[in-house]
Amino acid sequence: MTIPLRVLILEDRADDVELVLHELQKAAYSLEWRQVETETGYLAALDWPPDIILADYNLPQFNALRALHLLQERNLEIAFIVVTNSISEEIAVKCVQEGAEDYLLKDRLARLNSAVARALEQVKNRQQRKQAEMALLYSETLNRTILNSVTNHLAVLDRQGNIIRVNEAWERFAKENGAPLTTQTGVGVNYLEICRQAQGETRQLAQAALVGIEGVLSGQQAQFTLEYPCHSLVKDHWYLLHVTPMPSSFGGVVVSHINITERKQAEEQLRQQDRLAVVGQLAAGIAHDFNNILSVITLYAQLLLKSPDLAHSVAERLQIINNQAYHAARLIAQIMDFSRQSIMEPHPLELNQFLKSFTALLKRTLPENILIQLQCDRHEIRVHADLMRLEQVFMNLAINARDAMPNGGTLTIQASCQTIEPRQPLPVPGIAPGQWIRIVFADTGVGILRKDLARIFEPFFSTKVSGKSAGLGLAQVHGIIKQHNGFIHVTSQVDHGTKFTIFLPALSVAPDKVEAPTADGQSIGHGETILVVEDEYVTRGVISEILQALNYKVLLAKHGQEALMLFEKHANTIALVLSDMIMPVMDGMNLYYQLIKQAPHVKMIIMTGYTPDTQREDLIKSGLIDWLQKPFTLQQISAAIQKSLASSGATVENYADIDLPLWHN
Amino acid sequence: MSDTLNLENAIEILLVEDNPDDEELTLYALAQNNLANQIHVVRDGAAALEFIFATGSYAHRNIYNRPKLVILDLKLPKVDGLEVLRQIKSDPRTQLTPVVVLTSSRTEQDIVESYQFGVNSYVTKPIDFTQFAESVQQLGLYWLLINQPPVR
Repeated sequence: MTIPLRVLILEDRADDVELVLHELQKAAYSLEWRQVETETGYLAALDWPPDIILADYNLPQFNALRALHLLQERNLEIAFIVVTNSISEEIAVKCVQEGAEDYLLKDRLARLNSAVARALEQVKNRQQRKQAEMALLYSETLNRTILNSVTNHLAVLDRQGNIIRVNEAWERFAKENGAPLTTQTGVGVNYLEICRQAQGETRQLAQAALVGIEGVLSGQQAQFTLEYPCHSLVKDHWYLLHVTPMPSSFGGVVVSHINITERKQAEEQLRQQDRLAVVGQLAAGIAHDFNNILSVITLYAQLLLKSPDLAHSVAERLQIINNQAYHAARLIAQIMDFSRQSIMEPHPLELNQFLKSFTALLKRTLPENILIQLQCDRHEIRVHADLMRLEQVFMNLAINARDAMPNGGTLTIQASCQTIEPRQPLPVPGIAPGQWIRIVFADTGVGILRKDLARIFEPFFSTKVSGKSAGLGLAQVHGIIKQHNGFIHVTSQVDHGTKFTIFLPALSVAPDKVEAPTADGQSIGHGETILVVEDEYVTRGVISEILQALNYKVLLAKHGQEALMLFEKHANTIALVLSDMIMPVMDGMNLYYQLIKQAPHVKMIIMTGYTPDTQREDLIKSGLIDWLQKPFTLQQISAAIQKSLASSGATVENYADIDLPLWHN
Repeated sequence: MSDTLNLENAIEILLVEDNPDDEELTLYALAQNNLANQIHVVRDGAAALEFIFATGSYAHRNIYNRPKLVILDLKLPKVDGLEVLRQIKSDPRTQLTPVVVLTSSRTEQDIVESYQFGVNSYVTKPIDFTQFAESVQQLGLYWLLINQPPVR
């Protein structure tokens, strides 16, 4: 079997070429050969490519060393033997030092074939080694790429705890001097020592980490995890330290620090919401009972105040009772807002205009040392909101800002549209991607301590001087925003200020003209008959007295069924039904459904302290029933009655749209 | 690399690669086909732009003396690979230069953007070294020997 062999001969003398070929033909090669004598010819022949180069040391225009260098410049692995007439030992050594495989004298060519075989073998070995080195280098770069694509901070420790490998995320953190336990800890450093020497705030954490890492290193623990906070002045961070063992043949551990800030914040937010929900439920229960009691107190006080021959001192005291009860009712209203029990009257609303007039109001009411800046979007900003409630939210936030800036400062109010893309990080946990309206209230005040920040939306939580505030303002804000299906988020920096960010669902339709609330005076009846349905006798009593004082005739029922019987008897004289919502036997809703069977045009007002559920809300929205929120004032009840009496009442056409529930107890 | 002044006319491949290991690997692969002799290596995006546009430390170059191929990494210091690509492809004097992105990024966005900017070819590094060497050799052979460039 012959081995193919391409020989490139650098030689200017033809008979020397012959000599070489003659020798080579003695071996079992299937020979191809080329002869060159210039650099150009040589370079061209390299593309052939030859397996071996036999170079004469001295050529007229070229030489073996130059040829060797050109080879190396091109990173070519080709066997190279210097063949020459006379060569000094010095030159021979130099050739081999420079990388030639061998050298031969032309008069001793008998050794040529064995020299060629050995040179080919050497080159082959070198190529294989190079190939293996390159494969290793490649897999090393690949490993590095993989390691660096991990966003966690990774370090590999050997059995003694020396860092032998880190990824870019770790390096970056070390440079930025951010988290404890990652700072100034590059390759070569002993991580256990770093933990042992930690001082100050991180000492305790470092000790815990040390125990954990040693535990995993010694094999006593399968793995070790530790969550720890890393708060800077500007931003809160949470990390998870994770220590896992390397395979036992290798020893050592992988230490990673994983940023879990987002998860922590979401957890905290959820905990906060749970807490708020529980308090909300509690508050709602109390609020309902209080409303009934306060209704009675205020209405009786107002009724008494109308008595003609009242002594001045008595009137004054009654007025105080009335005022205080009214004040209590306001507090209850705030609690109901917080617990999302208030009745909302949302309308399409354009915020820019609204905020402009609101800011104008603020400028008149806030101290002069507070600068108010309004930054509005150029485009219309539309939301579906209850104007009064939203104004309450803004007012509470403005008052908080004022109290946070006793020495003056700037209150910046911003409103803009924001699209939250599906894969974008969420500005507040739980918010869904889509179109949102973002409203910001930012002050330059004293800021809120980190420990207080988590609790500021809780009712009765206040950082203000005791007695100055009931701690309901922000709870109310929270409830109202939630009831608008919105989100609120607060960030604060002590001594630099606080920023509240509200997100409300954006509305795409054009808003209606905002209806000015009618401020009607109390009206006097003309002897119309009103059927009052109320299960609680004190409330029933006071309403009855009030209606009579307002010059109405009154029929009283304890619940829906009794009302129904009365209505059958007096159908022709009853002008209006004034009913409580929640009653035993038959509630206000079902009473209405029964009544319209007999009298489709019946007029009815529902009194309630609760948010209507969806079905009831639909009914109220349809305009078939008026409602009156408890507790109400004399003025409110008289206005509601007058409005209802003046209306045309329900029509059968409208009524057909409503899905009637089965009558039930 | 050897003196660029002398090799000025001979540069066939511009390799833009910041990592010395990756450079060595690419050069090794090209050398297997004797393609490594007319390569110039730059270490960052800014130097790549200076070379291509014959400015700064390459002001002596003739901008129309285009390399036959630019092998470009995407993750580069100073000016990133996508920006280098964008500038080459948006200038009439340089837009004919073939640019091949050779990277470990398989990010859809990188691929799409590279093609939007007019990359001639996008090659991701395979897991296996032999495959890597073959890819580099093939792309070298293709662009330097098989492909017919427009007349310079």
